[in-house]
Amino acid sequence: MTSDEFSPGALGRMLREPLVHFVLTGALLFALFSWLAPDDEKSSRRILITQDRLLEFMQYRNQTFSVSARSRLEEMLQSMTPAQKAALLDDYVREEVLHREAIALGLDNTDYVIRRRLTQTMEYILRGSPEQDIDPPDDDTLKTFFLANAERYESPARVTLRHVFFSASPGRRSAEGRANTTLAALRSQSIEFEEALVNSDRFPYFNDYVDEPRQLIESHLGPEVANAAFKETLTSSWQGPYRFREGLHLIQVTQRTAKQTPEFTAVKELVLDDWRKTETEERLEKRVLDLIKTYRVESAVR
Amino acid sequence: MSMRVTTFLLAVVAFCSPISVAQQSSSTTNYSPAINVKHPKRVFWGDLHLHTQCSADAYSLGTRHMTPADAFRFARGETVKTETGQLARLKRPLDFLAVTDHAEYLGAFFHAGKRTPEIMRTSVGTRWAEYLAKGEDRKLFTEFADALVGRGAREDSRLPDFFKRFVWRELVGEAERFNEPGRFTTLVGYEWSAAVDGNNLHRVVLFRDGPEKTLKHIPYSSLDSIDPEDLWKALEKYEKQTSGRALAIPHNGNGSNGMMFSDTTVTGQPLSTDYAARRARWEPIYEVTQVKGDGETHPYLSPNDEFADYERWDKTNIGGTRKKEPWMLEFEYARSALARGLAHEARIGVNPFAFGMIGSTDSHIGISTTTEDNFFGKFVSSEPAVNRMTTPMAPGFPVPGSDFAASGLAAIWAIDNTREALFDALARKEVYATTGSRITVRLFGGWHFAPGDVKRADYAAVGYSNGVPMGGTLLAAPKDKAPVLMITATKDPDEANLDRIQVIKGWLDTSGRTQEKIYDVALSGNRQPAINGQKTAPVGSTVDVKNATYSNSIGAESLDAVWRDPDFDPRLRAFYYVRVLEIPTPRWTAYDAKRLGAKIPDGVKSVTVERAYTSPIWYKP
Repeated sequence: MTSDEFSPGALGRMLREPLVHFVLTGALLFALFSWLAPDDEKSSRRILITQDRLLEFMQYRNQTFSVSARSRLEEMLQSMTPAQKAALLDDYVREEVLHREAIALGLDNTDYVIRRRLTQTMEYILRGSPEQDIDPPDDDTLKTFFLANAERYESPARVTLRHVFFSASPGRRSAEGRANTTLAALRSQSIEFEEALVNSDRFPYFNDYVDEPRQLIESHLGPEVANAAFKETLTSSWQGPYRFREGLHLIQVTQRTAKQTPEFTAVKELVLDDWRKTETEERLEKRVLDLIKTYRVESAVR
Repeated sequence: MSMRVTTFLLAVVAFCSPISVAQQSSSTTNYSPAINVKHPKRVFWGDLHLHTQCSADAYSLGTRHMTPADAFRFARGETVKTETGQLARLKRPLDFLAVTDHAEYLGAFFHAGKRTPEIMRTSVGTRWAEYLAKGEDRKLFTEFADALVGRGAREDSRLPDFFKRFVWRELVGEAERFNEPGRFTTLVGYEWSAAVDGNNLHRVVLFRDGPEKTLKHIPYSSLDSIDPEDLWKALEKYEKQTSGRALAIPHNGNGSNGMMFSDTTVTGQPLSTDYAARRARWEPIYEVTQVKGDGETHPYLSPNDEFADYERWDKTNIGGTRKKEPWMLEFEYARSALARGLAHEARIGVNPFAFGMIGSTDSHIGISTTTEDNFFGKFVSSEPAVNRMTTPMAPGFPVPGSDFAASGLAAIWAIDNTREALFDALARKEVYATTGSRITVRLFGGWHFAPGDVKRADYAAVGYSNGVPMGGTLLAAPKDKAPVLMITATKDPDEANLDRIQVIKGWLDTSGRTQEKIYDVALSGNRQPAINGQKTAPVGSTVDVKNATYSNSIGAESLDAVWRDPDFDPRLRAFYYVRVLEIPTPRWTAYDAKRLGAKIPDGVKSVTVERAYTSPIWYKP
């Protein structure tokens, strides 16, 4: 704008322009709205108490948000004595004033809980569309993702084994003696597993372990048994005795399956789920980074 | 060759062959002993109460990304990123999981957030989508809270059946996708979440069946009715239509302000024989322990029980609208309810509260975590964070996060890890609860067990052939005999040692009053059970709160007992259940203090005692 446009004549001309009319009407409406609207109310030192706000305030105080409770509260409000109503308004005003002053002091910036809540909400907004809505990528992209994260889809090695337990608790015949006799009998096949069980002691977990991963075998039977069961070379003969959990263990491994990596096609759906999750996180991180880029960060930290 | 000759030759062959006809026909008893073992040989672990983004409250309180698929993958042992972006994993996988989202607006808020065409075809869906677009999540939560009390919901807040079917198909489909019989079982279910005046009457509904049957059902919600008797009718209709099987599992009596095990029905009628029979039929199980507190008993009800003050969540009803009063407690906790059941039975002939017990989490963040050192809370607001102990469950709710319990698990003695076998074990109550540790407990009741029976490797076979397992009933005592319980308990291989095994007995005395007594029946170390009302010497404590550690230098790995009731009166109805206690360990709050630098508020516990509760064995004169 040049300065001559502010001459009275120029002003007169301007007032006849439709665009100016439009802008002025807008400004007037804005002013009117600001006067009515709560946003401006917050910056002014004016408190407008509406029925809705008061009811909301009562709902929070009563920690009840149901529609039926709201109508109850509404009735309660109607039937209040003037003194009660005045006391309620005072409480509302007190909270509103303290809240505004807290904001004015910037306490919403310093209270960590509020910061966390706001950053979480912002993250939610930045994530954008729910991950289920992200279009699936082409198979090559998925396959690359699958290969890069292959260990996620592996199923661990598993064993099937039978197990006989001899308790070393006091007051029993020697666990060593019984275990070694039973081991010899099992190896020479002069007794069956079921017969061996009858002469053994109660084991708190299981006697048969079917298709179980190392983790479970180790937690129930100990590292020695786990090592023997998952050894490189598979032997089907009875092994032991191994000491764990206040007793001795004999085992026979009857089956073992090696660690398995499934075919891509078998787990494609899971891969897609995971890809979408990763993609959502990456999109979020990118948007956050883009925002960070619009700031000039100066560090005073040495 | 003539027919006759052929027959003759076949007869000769049969006679001469080493396999005789007589041997082949003996199909009732098999020679191979292993084939004859028909009883459960192992216990399976899981969670039968878990919510995801498809639950309306979970979604409106921030669970936006955790899908049923995430829940199944976490439960079967995978590493999962939680809603707050933390990596989480179980020490050992679970054997089964039921995703049981709230039936009220099932999947609806999540679909409104996605603006799925199906929900945008409904007027209510478009309204919710608008709320979400404007960030008015609280309005969504309010609408959900209205739905729970049934009458409170707006008339225009009902969803059409086509949408309910659409969501149910998705959920049943996801369960089907992850069901691996024998290795990892997914049960199909949901939660009917009625509350009367803010008093919790919630029930988890579970099905035995696959999609061919469950898809014929539409989840029954509190918008249909807030009376559990109507829920039972809906389940009865399901069974008639499909010849499938369903059951309902109530939970959180502690949020019911005296309504869960009340002497009257929701409509104010005294409990009738018919009501009792239907309740016992549809609700064989109670979820006794979970994240919103433990429901075994309360110090007010069991003043002589030194372990009763455990994970209390007893300030208000579930709506947070009314404070707890002492008279309510008797009608809220499992132990007093089991005893009240005996009194009802004496009066009307049927025990409405003859329930077995399980634990589950009721987590609303899609992951089931129950150990103190790996506890992820209930909602997004109680995932590990420095301030979670002081954050309320929902905005304005009058209970701080520090009251949440890292609990619980369902333990099921079943033949196989399949939907059918797990469901059948629930129906016969051969199940029990733990508060998070995988403590193995076996209980048999009979008249003739010998003290040495429990040491036998085949003690379970003895238990089944000479008695009944947990959940069973002993009838009419033989002359001069008292019930004998055979019990074994073994620690979770990855957690703490055991302190003791206790038998909790409840009975109806000659004047019709309910009574309870606790017996210490097996103790670790060289302690002897105290007599004459004294307390047994405590096991001690190795807990170092500051470092959040303990040591298994005290306690026992395994305990057992054969216990005969010394106070038995054959004329009196009674129940017996077993409680197993671990040695003291750090509570989740201690781990938060150590790992996150959180401050434990005054009065908040930092040491806990994990425990298991078996389903009872009843005695009926």
